[in-house]
Amino acid sequence: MTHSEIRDKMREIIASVLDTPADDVPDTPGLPYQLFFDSLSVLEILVSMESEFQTTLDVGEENVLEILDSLDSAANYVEQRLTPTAG
Amino acid sequence: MRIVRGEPQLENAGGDPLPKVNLGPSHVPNGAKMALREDASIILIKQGGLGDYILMTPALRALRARYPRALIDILVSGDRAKEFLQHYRIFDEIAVMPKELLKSSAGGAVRQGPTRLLAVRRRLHGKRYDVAVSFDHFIPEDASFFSALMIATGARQRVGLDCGTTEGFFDVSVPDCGFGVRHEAEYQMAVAEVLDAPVIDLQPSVPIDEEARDLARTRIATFVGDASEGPLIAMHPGCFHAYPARRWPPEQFAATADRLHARFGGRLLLLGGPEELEVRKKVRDALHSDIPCQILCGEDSLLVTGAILKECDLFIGNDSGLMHLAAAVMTPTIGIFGLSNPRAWSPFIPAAPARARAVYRDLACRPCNYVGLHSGDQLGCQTRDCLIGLDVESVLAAAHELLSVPKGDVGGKNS
Repeated sequence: MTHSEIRDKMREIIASVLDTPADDVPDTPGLPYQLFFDSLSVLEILVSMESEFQTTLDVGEENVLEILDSLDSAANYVEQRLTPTAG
Repeated sequence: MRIVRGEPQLENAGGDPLPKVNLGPSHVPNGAKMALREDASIILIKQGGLGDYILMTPALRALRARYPRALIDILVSGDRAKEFLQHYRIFDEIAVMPKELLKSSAGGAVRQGPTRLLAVRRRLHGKRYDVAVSFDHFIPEDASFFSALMIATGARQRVGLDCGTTEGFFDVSVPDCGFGVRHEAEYQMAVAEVLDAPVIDLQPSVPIDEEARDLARTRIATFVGDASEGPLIAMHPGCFHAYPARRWPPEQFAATADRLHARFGGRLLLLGGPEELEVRKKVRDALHSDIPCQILCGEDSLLVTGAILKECDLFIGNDSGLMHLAAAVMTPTIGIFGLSNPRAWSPFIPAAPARARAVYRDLACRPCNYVGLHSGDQLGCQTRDCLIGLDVESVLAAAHELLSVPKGDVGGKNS
């Protein structure tokens, strides 16, 4: 998947979890605060990401909000998880 | 063979008849059901104790009978539950997620809770489930926790008990009118039925095998006293360590045993976990009669304990898992209730309802645990009049009834 495709898929996931139109998910940083993420919605987004991208997220409390800060940061993280490591 | 639904016998200390718990047909909202594909992937969720899982067995059997080819996993709260449930041969996998870990996660900080709950998916090996089925009550104080647990499974659809705290969360649900409106076993069966799995056999069960039976007979064969002289009476004076307030005083258990021995003869078997050994010793030390008494160490498996209980003529105990174990093997069972709710958790023997009794004091303040949509204070009040004031006569009255009926009249001894 391209970065753009992942980004679009993240928009769909967040919109679905928050039950909001996809157009209402902004491109700017600060998503957790703009869209009022709570712990359940964060959990649901993470679970949906694992299911959608067929990957295991290595997410901890120290980086979860940074990963979900924007569509780009989330897409960057997913790209890293999907990219095979050299060796 | 269709089992006729029965009603548990509830008695208060005054001996007055009480309204019987209605164990009518399961209620499905608007007839809404969810029929699954034959090869569906199902994750069941229950966070509870031994008694809860025993009461679930009619529902679990019905689900497996209805969906023989489905993947059915279950997420439980402890290793003991896993060890017990694996004997049923219903589940493809039994995953353990400690309740304490999850309880500290859900509803907590946005950073911390979700990441810990992802561990649920690790325990389930990232399987993709068609439906998550919760058998827990989503009462206000627990709704966030149980919601998070279901979300963490990643299941596409959700089924459970809905008391109105989670609007739109379930795809199909059973109305949850609160603790005690129905027996807990009935709530569990209703969840199975909403998944198009009719519950034909309502009787909870324990899969006792020949090995457990042989071990149980060996234990009892070494018991002092003459087996031909009177009933074998089992007592459980303890209960789960988190609920010390549910314990009827050991001296009262001893006095009950003395009075029963005076009338019927017989022998006394004191059961419980190894951590409850001291309370069993207190009962033994408080005996005044010469009733032969044996204390079991508590090291036996639950299957062997169930097999031992099946050999007994009467079980008397506090509201605990062992009480439900005795009822599941259809031993005549008396449950002693103080602060907890007998309408939710009375001994449940629908195949022979005359064998079940719940005894409690008719006080305005009780039950104070698990009533309506609240769990209440597990420690109860300081005076605990509900149990301290529950007299031996009340328990004896129930015991006399159960021991006075010839074995054949209650469907054969523990058959």
